[in-house]
Amino acid sequence: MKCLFQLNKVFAEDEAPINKKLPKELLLRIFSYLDVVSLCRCAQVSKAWNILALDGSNWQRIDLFDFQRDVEGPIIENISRRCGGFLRQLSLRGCQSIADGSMKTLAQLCPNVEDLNLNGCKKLTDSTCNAFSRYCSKLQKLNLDGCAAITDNSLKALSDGCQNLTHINISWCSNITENGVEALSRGCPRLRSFISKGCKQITSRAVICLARFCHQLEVVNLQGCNADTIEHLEQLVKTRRLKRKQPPVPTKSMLSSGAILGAIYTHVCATYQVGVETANDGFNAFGCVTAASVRNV
Amino acid sequence: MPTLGTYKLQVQEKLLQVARLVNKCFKTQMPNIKLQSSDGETFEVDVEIAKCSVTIKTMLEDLGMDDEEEEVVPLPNVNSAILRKVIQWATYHKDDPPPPEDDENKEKRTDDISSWDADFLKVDQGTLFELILAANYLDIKGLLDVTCKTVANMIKGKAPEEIRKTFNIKNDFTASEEEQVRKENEWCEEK
Repeated sequence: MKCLFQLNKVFAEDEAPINKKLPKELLLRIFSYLDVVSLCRCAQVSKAWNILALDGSNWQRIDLFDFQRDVEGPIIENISRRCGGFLRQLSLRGCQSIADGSMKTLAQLCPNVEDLNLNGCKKLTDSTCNAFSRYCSKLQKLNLDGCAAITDNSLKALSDGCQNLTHINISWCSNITENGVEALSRGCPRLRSFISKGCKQITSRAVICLARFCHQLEVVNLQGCNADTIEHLEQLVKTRRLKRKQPPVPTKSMLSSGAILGAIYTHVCATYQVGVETANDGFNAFGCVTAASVRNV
Repeated sequence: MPTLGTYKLQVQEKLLQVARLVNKCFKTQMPNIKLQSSDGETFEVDVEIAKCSVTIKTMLEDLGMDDEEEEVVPLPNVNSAILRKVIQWATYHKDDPPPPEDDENKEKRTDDISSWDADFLKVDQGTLFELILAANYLDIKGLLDVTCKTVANMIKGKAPEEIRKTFNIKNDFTASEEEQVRKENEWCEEK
Protein backbone atom coordinates (compact mmCIF):
# COMPACT_ATOMS: atom_id res chain seq x y z
CA MET A 1 0.00 0.00 0.00
CA LYS A 2 2.80 2.32 0.88
CA CYS A 3 4.35 1.79 -2.50
CA LEU A 4 1.06 2.49 -4.28
CA PHE A 5 0.58 5.70 -2.33
CA GLN A 6 4.00 6.92 -3.29
CA LEU A 7 3.36 6.09 -6.89
CA ASN A 8 0.08 8.05 -6.94
CA LYS A 9 1.79 10.97 -5.33
CA VAL A 10 4.54 10.95 -7.88
CA PHE A 11 2.01 10.77 -10.72
CA ALA A 12 -0.10 13.60 -9.36
CA GLU A 13 2.84 15.95 -9.62
CA ASP A 14 3.78 14.74 -13.05
CA GLU A 15 2.68 16.81 -16.01
CA ALA A 16 3.09 14.11 -18.65
CA PRO A 17 -0.27 13.12 -20.22
CA ILE A 18 0.73 9.46 -20.32
CA ASN A 19 1.03 9.40 -16.53
CA LYS A 20 -1.90 11.69 -15.89
CA LYS A 21 -4.35 9.83 -18.09
CA LEU A 22 -3.40 6.18 -17.76
CA PRO A 23 -3.76 4.27 -14.48
CA LYS A 24 -0.96 2.03 -13.27
CA GLU A 25 -2.66 -1.12 -14.57
CA LEU A 26 -2.76 0.17 -18.13
CA LEU A 27 0.83 1.43 -18.02
CA LEU A 28 1.87 -2.03 -16.87
CA ARG A 29 -0.10 -3.51 -19.73
CA ILE A 30 1.95 -1.34 -22.10
CA PHE A 31 5.14 -2.35 -20.32
CA SER A 32 4.21 -6.00 -20.75
CA TYR A 33 5.07 -5.58 -24.43
CA LEU A 34 8.60 -4.35 -23.67
CA ASP A 35 11.81 -6.36 -23.81
CA VAL A 36 14.48 -6.44 -21.11
CA VAL A 37 16.53 -3.60 -22.61
CA SER A 38 13.53 -1.26 -22.96
CA LEU A 39 12.43 -2.02 -19.40
CA CYS A 40 15.89 -1.17 -18.06
CA ARG A 41 15.77 2.13 -19.94
CA CYS A 42 12.24 2.92 -18.72
CA ALA A 43 13.53 2.39 -15.18
CA GLN A 44 15.83 5.40 -15.72
CA VAL A 45 13.14 7.79 -17.01
CA SER A 46 11.61 8.99 -13.73
CA LYS A 47 10.84 7.83 -10.20
CA ALA A 48 7.33 6.71 -11.12
CA TRP A 49 8.52 4.83 -14.18
CA ASN A 50 11.32 3.26 -12.13
CA ILE A 51 8.71 1.71 -9.83
CA LEU A 52 6.62 0.56 -12.79
CA ALA A 53 9.51 -0.85 -14.82
CA LEU A 54 10.82 -2.87 -11.89
CA ASP A 55 7.35 -4.27 -11.11
CA GLY A 56 7.58 -8.02 -10.76
CA SER A 57 4.87 -8.57 -13.36
CA ASN A 58 7.32 -7.43 -16.06
CA TRP A 59 9.94 -9.94 -15.02
CA GLN A 60 8.14 -13.27 -15.16
CA ARG A 61 8.93 -14.29 -18.72
CA ILE A 62 12.20 -13.45 -20.36
CA ASP A 63 13.57 -14.42 -23.73
CA LEU A 64 17.15 -13.39 -24.35
CA PHE A 65 17.28 -14.85 -27.84
CA ASP A 66 16.64 -11.38 -29.26
CA PHE A 67 19.29 -9.74 -27.13
CA GLN A 68 21.31 -9.39 -30.33
CA ARG A 69 24.63 -10.26 -28.76
CA ASP A 70 26.20 -13.04 -26.83
CA VAL A 71 24.90 -13.06 -23.30
CA GLU A 72 27.61 -13.22 -20.68
CA GLY A 73 27.35 -14.55 -17.16
CA PRO A 74 26.92 -11.16 -15.42
CA ILE A 75 23.75 -10.49 -17.41
CA ILE A 76 22.22 -13.75 -16.19
CA GLU A 77 23.20 -12.82 -12.65
CA ASN A 78 21.63 -9.35 -12.99
CA ILE A 79 18.47 -10.83 -14.45
CA SER A 80 18.33 -13.39 -11.65
CA ARG A 81 18.62 -10.65 -9.05
CA ARG A 82 16.01 -8.47 -10.70
CA CYS A 83 13.49 -11.24 -11.38
CA GLY A 84 13.98 -13.24 -8.20
CA GLY A 85 10.96 -15.30 -7.32
CA PHE A 86 8.91 -13.65 -10.07
CA LEU A 87 10.70 -15.46 -12.86
CA ARG A 88 8.58 -18.25 -14.35
CA GLN A 89 9.94 -18.61 -17.83
CA LEU A 90 13.37 -17.96 -19.27
CA SER A 91 14.81 -18.68 -22.66
CA LEU A 92 18.58 -18.61 -23.09
CA ARG A 93 18.39 -20.33 -26.43
CA GLY A 94 21.67 -20.01 -28.25
CA CYS A 95 23.53 -18.29 -25.39
CA GLN A 96 26.69 -20.31 -25.85
CA SER A 97 28.85 -18.49 -23.30
CA ILE A 98 26.63 -19.22 -20.35
CA ALA A 99 28.43 -21.43 -17.84
CA ASP A 100 27.41 -23.41 -14.78
CA GLY A 101 28.22 -20.62 -12.29
CA SER A 102 25.58 -18.26 -13.72
CA MET A 103 22.99 -21.00 -13.87
CA LYS A 104 23.66 -21.87 -10.24
CA THR A 105 23.03 -18.23 -9.28
CA LEU A 106 19.86 -18.30 -11.33
CA ALA A 107 18.64 -21.48 -9.66
CA GLN A 108 19.28 -20.03 -6.22
CA LEU A 109 17.68 -16.64 -6.84
CA CYS A 110 14.74 -17.78 -8.98
CA PRO A 111 13.31 -20.86 -7.27
CA ASN A 112 9.90 -20.52 -8.92
CA VAL A 113 11.08 -20.95 -12.48
CA GLU A 114 8.84 -23.33 -14.42
CA ASP A 115 10.08 -23.23 -17.98
CA LEU A 116 13.74 -23.06 -18.96
CA ASN A 117 15.04 -23.17 -22.50
CA LEU A 118 18.80 -23.80 -22.57
CA ASN A 119 18.90 -24.96 -26.16
CA GLY A 120 22.47 -24.69 -27.41
CA CYS A 121 24.06 -23.59 -24.12
CA LYS A 122 26.99 -25.88 -24.84
CA LYS A 123 29.09 -25.04 -21.81
CA LEU A 124 26.58 -26.29 -19.30
CA THR A 125 27.36 -29.50 -17.45
CA ASP A 126 25.69 -31.70 -14.87
CA SER A 127 26.29 -29.17 -12.10
CA THR A 128 23.65 -26.93 -13.71
CA CYS A 129 21.07 -29.69 -13.40
CA ASN A 130 22.26 -30.40 -9.87
CA ALA A 131 21.48 -26.79 -9.00
CA PHE A 132 18.00 -27.05 -10.56
CA SER A 133 17.44 -30.25 -8.61
CA ARG A 134 18.40 -28.53 -5.40
CA TYR A 135 16.56 -25.22 -5.76
CA CYS A 136 13.93 -25.39 -8.53
CA SER A 137 11.37 -27.99 -7.58
CA LYS A 138 8.69 -26.21 -9.63
CA LEU A 139 10.51 -26.77 -12.90
CA GLN A 140 8.11 -28.22 -15.48
CA LYS A 141 9.74 -27.71 -18.83
CA LEU A 142 13.44 -28.06 -19.49
CA ASN A 143 15.09 -27.88 -22.88
CA LEU A 144 18.68 -29.10 -22.91
CA ASP A 145 18.82 -29.60 -26.67
CA GLY A 146 22.46 -29.54 -27.74
CA CYS A 147 23.94 -29.31 -24.23
CA ALA A 148 26.35 -32.03 -25.21
CA ALA A 149 28.22 -32.20 -21.88
CA ILE A 150 25.11 -33.31 -20.01
CA THR A 151 25.21 -36.93 -18.80
CA ASP A 152 23.02 -39.41 -16.97
CA ASN A 153 23.90 -37.65 -13.72
CA SER A 154 21.78 -34.70 -14.82
CA LEU A 155 18.73 -36.87 -15.36
CA LYS A 156 19.31 -38.54 -12.01
CA ALA A 157 19.52 -35.16 -10.30
CA LEU A 158 16.33 -33.97 -12.05
CA SER A 159 14.53 -37.14 -11.03
CA ASP A 160 15.44 -36.37 -7.41
CA GLY A 161 14.57 -32.71 -7.19
CA CYS A 162 12.31 -31.79 -10.11
CA GLN A 163 9.47 -34.24 -9.91
CA ASN A 164 7.03 -31.86 -11.55
CA LEU A 165 8.80 -32.12 -14.89
CA THR A 166 6.34 -32.53 -17.73
CA HIS A 167 8.51 -31.72 -20.75
CA ILE A 168 12.14 -32.55 -21.31
CA ASN A 169 14.29 -32.26 -24.39
CA ILE A 170 17.72 -33.89 -24.24
CA SER A 171 18.36 -34.03 -27.97
CA TRP A 172 22.00 -34.41 -28.99
CA CYS A 173 23.09 -35.00 -25.39
CA SER A 174 24.79 -38.07 -26.71
CA ASN A 175 26.31 -39.09 -23.38
CA ILE A 176 22.89 -39.94 -22.03
CA THR A 177 22.08 -43.62 -21.83
CA GLU A 178 19.13 -45.74 -20.86
CA ASN A 179 20.27 -45.54 -17.21
CA GLY A 180 19.60 -41.82 -17.09
CA VAL A 181 16.24 -42.24 -18.81
CA GLU A 182 15.28 -44.96 -16.35
CA ALA A 183 16.03 -42.68 -13.38
CA LEU A 184 14.10 -39.86 -15.03
CA SER A 185 11.11 -42.10 -15.74
CA ARG A 186 10.98 -43.31 -12.16
CA GLY A 187 11.39 -39.84 -10.62
CA CYS A 188 9.22 -37.79 -12.97
CA PRO A 189 5.95 -39.66 -13.50
CA ARG A 190 4.21 -36.55 -14.85
CA LEU A 191 6.31 -36.48 -18.02
CA ARG A 192 4.17 -35.68 -21.02
CA SER A 193 6.86 -35.03 -23.58
CA PHE A 194 10.20 -36.78 -23.97
CA ILE A 195 12.42 -35.72 -26.85
CA SER A 196 15.82 -37.28 -27.35
CA LYS A 197 16.84 -36.83 -30.94
CA GLY A 198 20.25 -38.16 -31.82
CA CYS A 199 20.82 -39.94 -28.51
CA LYS A 200 22.23 -43.19 -29.82
CA GLN A 201 22.64 -44.75 -26.40
CA ILE A 202 18.97 -44.60 -25.62
CA THR A 203 17.72 -48.12 -26.19
CA SER A 204 14.66 -50.28 -25.80
CA ARG A 205 15.00 -50.42 -22.03
CA ALA A 206 14.66 -46.66 -21.88
CA VAL A 207 11.47 -46.95 -23.89
CA ILE A 208 10.13 -49.66 -21.58
CA CYS A 209 10.83 -47.52 -18.51
CA LEU A 210 9.10 -44.52 -20.01
CA ALA A 211 6.08 -46.65 -20.81
CA ARG A 212 6.02 -48.25 -17.38
CA PHE A 213 6.41 -45.15 -15.21
CA CYS A 214 5.19 -42.19 -17.24
CA HIS A 215 1.57 -42.83 -17.97
CA GLN A 216 0.85 -39.30 -19.13
CA LEU A 217 3.30 -39.38 -22.02
CA GLU A 218 1.88 -37.83 -25.14
CA VAL A 219 4.94 -37.08 -27.22
CA VAL A 220 8.01 -39.23 -27.70
CA ASN A 221 10.59 -38.29 -30.27
CA LEU A 222 13.46 -40.74 -30.70
CA GLN A 223 14.75 -39.52 -34.03
CA GLY A 224 18.16 -41.03 -34.68
CA CYS A 225 17.90 -43.87 -32.21
CA ASN A 226 18.50 -47.39 -33.45
CA ALA A 227 16.03 -49.55 -35.29
CA ASP A 228 15.60 -51.96 -32.39
CA THR A 229 14.30 -49.17 -30.22
CA ILE A 230 11.73 -48.13 -32.75
CA GLU A 231 10.68 -51.72 -33.16
CA HIS A 232 10.38 -52.03 -29.44
CA LEU A 233 8.17 -49.02 -29.38
CA GLU A 234 5.94 -50.79 -31.88
CA GLN A 235 6.04 -53.94 -29.77
CA LEU A 236 4.98 -52.02 -26.73
CA VAL A 237 2.09 -50.52 -28.53
CA LYS A 238 1.14 -54.03 -29.63
CA THR A 239 1.42 -55.63 -26.21
CA ARG A 240 -0.98 -53.01 -24.90
CA ARG A 241 -3.47 -54.73 -27.18
CA LEU A 242 -4.32 -51.60 -28.98
CA LYS A 243 -6.24 -52.34 -32.09
CA ARG A 244 -4.95 -50.85 -35.23
CA LYS A 245 -7.56 -50.09 -37.74
CA GLN A 246 -5.18 -50.00 -40.68
CA PRO A 247 -2.71 -50.84 -42.03
CA PRO A 248 -1.23 -53.99 -40.43
CA VAL A 249 1.63 -53.92 -37.98
CA PRO A 250 4.95 -54.05 -39.79
CA THR A 251 7.07 -57.12 -39.30
CA LYS A 252 10.72 -57.06 -38.40
CA SER A 253 11.74 -57.55 -41.97
CA MET A 254 9.65 -54.60 -42.97
CA LEU A 255 11.38 -52.51 -40.35
CA SER A 256 14.75 -53.12 -41.83
CA SER A 257 13.66 -51.70 -45.10
CA GLY A 258 13.94 -47.96 -45.24
CA ALA A 259 11.22 -47.68 -47.83
CA ILE A 260 8.68 -49.17 -45.48
CA LEU A 261 9.55 -47.02 -42.52
CA GLY A 262 7.33 -44.18 -43.60
CA ALA A 263 4.40 -46.52 -43.24
CA ILE A 264 5.18 -47.11 -39.60
CA TYR A 265 4.62 -43.48 -38.94
CA THR A 266 1.12 -43.89 -40.24
CA HIS A 267 0.66 -46.80 -37.85
CA VAL A 268 1.88 -44.94 -34.88
CA CYS A 269 -0.27 -41.99 -35.66
CA ALA A 270 -3.23 -44.31 -35.98
CA THR A 271 -2.16 -45.82 -32.70
CA TYR A 272 -2.14 -42.42 -31.14
CA GLN A 273 -5.75 -41.88 -31.96
CA VAL A 274 -6.64 -45.31 -30.65
CA GLY A 275 -4.58 -44.54 -27.58
CA VAL A 276 -6.54 -41.45 -26.86
CA GLU A 277 -9.85 -43.18 -27.43
CA THR A 278 -8.92 -45.99 -25.08
CA ALA A 279 -7.31 -43.83 -22.47
CA ASN A 280 -9.59 -45.49 -19.92
CA ASP A 281 -7.48 -48.61 -20.24
CA GLY A 282 -4.76 -46.68 -18.57
CA PHE A 283 -2.75 -46.42 -21.72
CA ASN A 284 -2.07 -43.24 -23.44
CA ALA A 285 1.65 -43.45 -23.65
CA PHE A 286 3.60 -43.12 -26.85
CA GLY A 287 1.11 -40.88 -28.37
CA CYS A 288 3.16 -39.47 -31.12
CA VAL A 289 6.35 -40.48 -32.75
CA THR A 290 7.31 -37.94 -35.32
CA ALA A 291 7.66 -38.82 -38.93
CA ALA A 292 11.28 -37.85 -38.85
CA SER A 293 11.99 -40.16 -35.97
CA VAL A 294 11.03 -43.09 -38.09
CA ARG A 295 12.39 -42.00 -41.40
CA ASN A 296 15.82 -41.31 -40.03
CA VAL A 297 16.31 -44.70 -38.42
CA MET B 1 -11.71 5.59 -13.31
CA PRO B 2 -14.92 4.76 -11.37
CA THR B 3 -14.62 2.62 -8.27
CA LEU B 4 -16.08 -0.86 -8.37
CA GLY B 5 -19.08 0.27 -6.30
CA THR B 6 -20.09 3.15 -8.53
CA TYR B 7 -19.36 1.03 -11.56
CA LYS B 8 -21.76 -1.65 -10.31
CA LEU B 9 -24.47 0.94 -9.82
CA GLN B 10 -23.87 2.32 -13.27
CA VAL B 11 -24.03 -1.14 -14.73
CA GLN B 12 -27.27 -2.01 -12.95
CA GLU B 13 -28.81 1.17 -14.19
CA LYS B 14 -27.62 0.54 -17.68
CA LEU B 15 -28.71 -3.06 -17.61
CA LEU B 16 -32.31 -2.01 -17.21
CA GLN B 17 -32.03 0.57 -19.91
CA VAL B 18 -30.40 -1.86 -22.25
CA ALA B 19 -32.99 -4.51 -21.51
CA ARG B 20 -35.71 -2.21 -22.68
CA LEU B 21 -33.71 -1.19 -25.64
CA VAL B 22 -32.90 -4.73 -26.69
CA ASN B 23 -36.49 -5.71 -26.37
CA LYS B 24 -37.42 -2.90 -28.65
CA CYS B 25 -34.79 -3.87 -31.17
CA PHE B 26 -36.03 -7.40 -31.35
CA LYS B 27 -39.67 -6.48 -31.62
CA THR B 28 -39.13 -4.01 -34.39
CA GLN B 29 -36.54 -6.14 -36.19
CA MET B 30 -34.08 -3.29 -35.96
CA PRO B 31 -30.61 -4.59 -35.35
CA ASN B 32 -29.41 -1.17 -34.19
CA ILE B 33 -28.80 0.24 -30.75
CA LYS B 34 -28.04 3.75 -29.70
CA LEU B 35 -24.93 4.64 -27.74
CA GLN B 36 -24.68 7.98 -26.02
CA SER B 37 -21.33 9.62 -25.35
CA SER B 38 -20.47 11.56 -22.21
CA ASP B 39 -21.14 14.85 -23.99
CA GLY B 40 -24.61 13.75 -25.06
CA GLU B 41 -24.13 12.77 -28.70
CA THR B 42 -26.02 9.66 -29.78
CA PHE B 43 -24.62 7.08 -32.19
CA GLU B 44 -26.77 4.46 -33.85
CA VAL B 45 -24.79 1.25 -34.22
CA ASP B 46 -25.43 -2.25 -35.46
CA VAL B 47 -25.91 -4.49 -32.41
CA GLU B 48 -23.31 -6.95 -33.64
CA ILE B 49 -20.72 -4.18 -33.91
CA ALA B 50 -21.60 -2.79 -30.48
CA LYS B 51 -21.18 -6.29 -29.08
CA CYS B 52 -17.45 -6.32 -29.79
CA SER B 53 -17.45 -4.39 -26.52
CA VAL B 54 -17.72 -7.10 -23.88
CA THR B 55 -19.12 -4.51 -21.49
CA ILE B 56 -22.05 -3.80 -23.84
CA LYS B 57 -22.40 -7.45 -24.86
CA THR B 58 -22.69 -8.56 -21.24
CA MET B 59 -25.34 -5.94 -20.59
CA LEU B 60 -27.35 -7.06 -23.58
CA GLU B 61 -27.11 -10.73 -22.72
CA ASP B 62 -27.75 -10.50 -19.00
CA LEU B 63 -30.92 -8.54 -19.35
CA GLY B 64 -34.52 -9.33 -19.85
CA MET B 65 -36.28 -7.34 -22.51
CA ASP B 66 -39.76 -6.20 -21.78
CA ASP B 67 -40.08 -2.52 -22.34
CA GLU B 68 -40.71 -0.65 -25.51
CA GLU B 69 -39.57 2.68 -24.23
CA GLU B 70 -37.12 4.46 -26.46
CA GLU B 71 -33.75 4.22 -24.68
CA VAL B 72 -30.10 4.70 -25.37
CA VAL B 73 -27.04 3.18 -23.72
CA PRO B 74 -25.18 5.99 -21.93
CA LEU B 75 -21.42 5.66 -21.92
CA PRO B 76 -20.41 8.33 -19.40
CA ASN B 77 -16.71 7.56 -19.64
CA VAL B 78 -16.36 8.07 -23.39
CA ASN B 79 -16.66 11.38 -25.20
CA SER B 80 -18.09 11.69 -28.70
CA ALA B 81 -14.75 12.10 -30.49
CA ILE B 82 -13.39 8.91 -28.93
CA LEU B 83 -16.67 6.99 -29.26
CA ARG B 84 -16.72 7.87 -32.97
CA LYS B 85 -13.18 6.45 -33.31
CA VAL B 86 -14.09 3.32 -31.35
CA ILE B 87 -17.14 2.68 -33.53
CA GLN B 88 -15.03 3.25 -36.64
CA TRP B 89 -12.50 0.67 -35.39
CA ALA B 90 -15.18 -1.82 -34.39
CA THR B 91 -16.96 -1.46 -37.73
CA TYR B 92 -13.79 -2.16 -39.68
CA HIS B 93 -12.99 -5.18 -37.48
CA LYS B 94 -16.53 -6.53 -37.18
CA ASP B 95 -15.75 -9.75 -39.06
CA ASP B 96 -12.47 -10.46 -37.23
CA PRO B 97 -12.24 -13.75 -35.37
CA PRO B 98 -12.49 -13.22 -31.60
CA PRO B 99 -9.07 -12.19 -30.22
CA PRO B 100 -7.19 -14.97 -28.41
CA GLU B 101 -7.18 -14.97 -24.64
CA ASP B 102 -4.11 -13.50 -23.00
CA ASP B 103 -1.67 -16.35 -23.08
CA GLU B 104 1.10 -15.90 -20.57
CA ASN B 105 3.35 -18.21 -22.49
CA LYS B 106 2.89 -16.48 -25.78
CA GLU B 107 5.55 -14.14 -26.96
CA LYS B 108 4.32 -10.57 -26.83
CA ARG B 109 4.94 -9.06 -30.23
CA THR B 110 4.51 -5.45 -31.20
CA ASP B 111 5.44 -5.69 -34.88
CA ASP B 112 2.16 -7.28 -35.95
CA ILE B 113 0.00 -4.17 -36.18
CA SER B 114 -1.98 -4.15 -39.44
CA SER B 115 -1.45 -1.21 -41.75
CA TRP B 116 -5.08 -0.16 -41.35
CA ASP B 117 -4.70 -0.07 -37.57
CA ALA B 118 -1.38 1.76 -37.87
CA ASP B 119 -3.04 4.43 -39.99
CA PHE B 120 -6.06 4.53 -37.71
CA LEU B 121 -3.79 5.16 -34.72
CA LYS B 122 -1.85 8.01 -36.31
CA VAL B 123 -3.35 10.39 -33.75
CA ASP B 124 -2.03 12.69 -31.08
CA GLN B 125 -0.95 11.14 -27.79
CA GLY B 126 -3.98 12.46 -25.91
CA THR B 127 -6.33 10.69 -28.31
CA LEU B 128 -4.26 7.51 -28.17
CA PHE B 129 -4.41 7.40 -24.37
CA GLU B 130 -8.15 8.17 -24.45
CA LEU B 131 -8.61 5.25 -26.84
CA ILE B 132 -6.73 2.97 -24.42
CA LEU B 133 -9.01 4.09 -21.60
CA ALA B 134 -12.14 3.61 -23.72
CA ALA B 135 -11.01 0.17 -24.95
CA ASN B 136 -10.37 -0.81 -21.33
CA TYR B 137 -13.70 0.55 -20.08
CA LEU B 138 -15.69 -0.98 -22.94
CA ASP B 139 -13.59 -4.17 -22.73
CA ILE B 140 -12.61 -4.36 -26.40
CA LYS B 141 -9.53 -6.56 -26.24
CA GLY B 142 -8.44 -6.17 -29.85
CA LEU B 143 -8.42 -2.38 -29.61
CA LEU B 144 -6.75 -2.42 -26.19
CA ASP B 145 -3.99 -4.69 -27.50
CA VAL B 146 -3.25 -2.66 -30.60
CA THR B 147 -3.27 0.69 -28.78
CA CYS B 148 -0.98 -0.59 -25.99
CA LYS B 149 1.36 -2.06 -28.62
CA THR B 150 1.46 1.29 -30.38
CA VAL B 151 2.58 3.01 -27.17
CA ALA B 152 5.11 0.24 -26.50
CA ASN B 153 6.55 0.87 -29.97
CA MET B 154 6.95 4.53 -29.06
CA ILE B 155 9.14 3.42 -26.13
CA LYS B 156 11.16 0.65 -27.76
CA GLY B 157 14.65 1.43 -28.97
CA LYS B 158 14.84 4.80 -27.24
CA ALA B 159 17.31 6.00 -24.61
CA PRO B 160 15.86 7.26 -21.30
CA GLU B 161 16.19 10.91 -22.35
CA GLU B 162 14.46 10.23 -25.67
CA ILE B 163 11.60 8.50 -23.84
CA ARG B 164 11.23 11.55 -21.57
CA LYS B 165 11.07 13.82 -24.61
CA THR B 166 8.58 11.59 -26.42
CA PHE B 167 6.10 11.64 -23.54
CA ASN B 168 7.07 14.97 -21.98
CA ILE B 169 8.04 13.26 -18.74
CA LYS B 170 9.99 15.29 -16.20
CA ASN B 171 13.23 13.82 -14.90
CA ASP B 172 12.67 13.96 -11.16
CA PHE B 173 15.84 12.10 -10.19
CA THR B 174 18.57 14.03 -8.42
CA ALA B 175 21.96 13.80 -10.12
CA SER B 176 23.15 11.17 -7.69
CA GLU B 177 19.91 9.15 -7.95
CA GLU B 178 20.15 9.26 -11.72
CA GLU B 179 23.69 7.97 -11.60
CA GLN B 180 22.60 5.18 -9.28
CA VAL B 181 19.72 3.97 -11.49
CA ARG B 182 21.98 4.23 -14.51
CA LYS B 183 24.46 1.91 -12.80
CA GLU B 184 21.72 -0.47 -11.74
CA ASN B 185 20.56 -0.81 -15.31
CA GLU B 186 23.73 -0.57 -17.36
CA TRP B 187 24.06 -4.36 -17.53
CA CYS B 188 21.53 -4.48 -20.31
CA GLU B 189 23.42 -2.01 -22.49
CA GLU B 190 26.00 -2.74 -25.13
CA LYS B 191 29.49 -2.42 -23.69
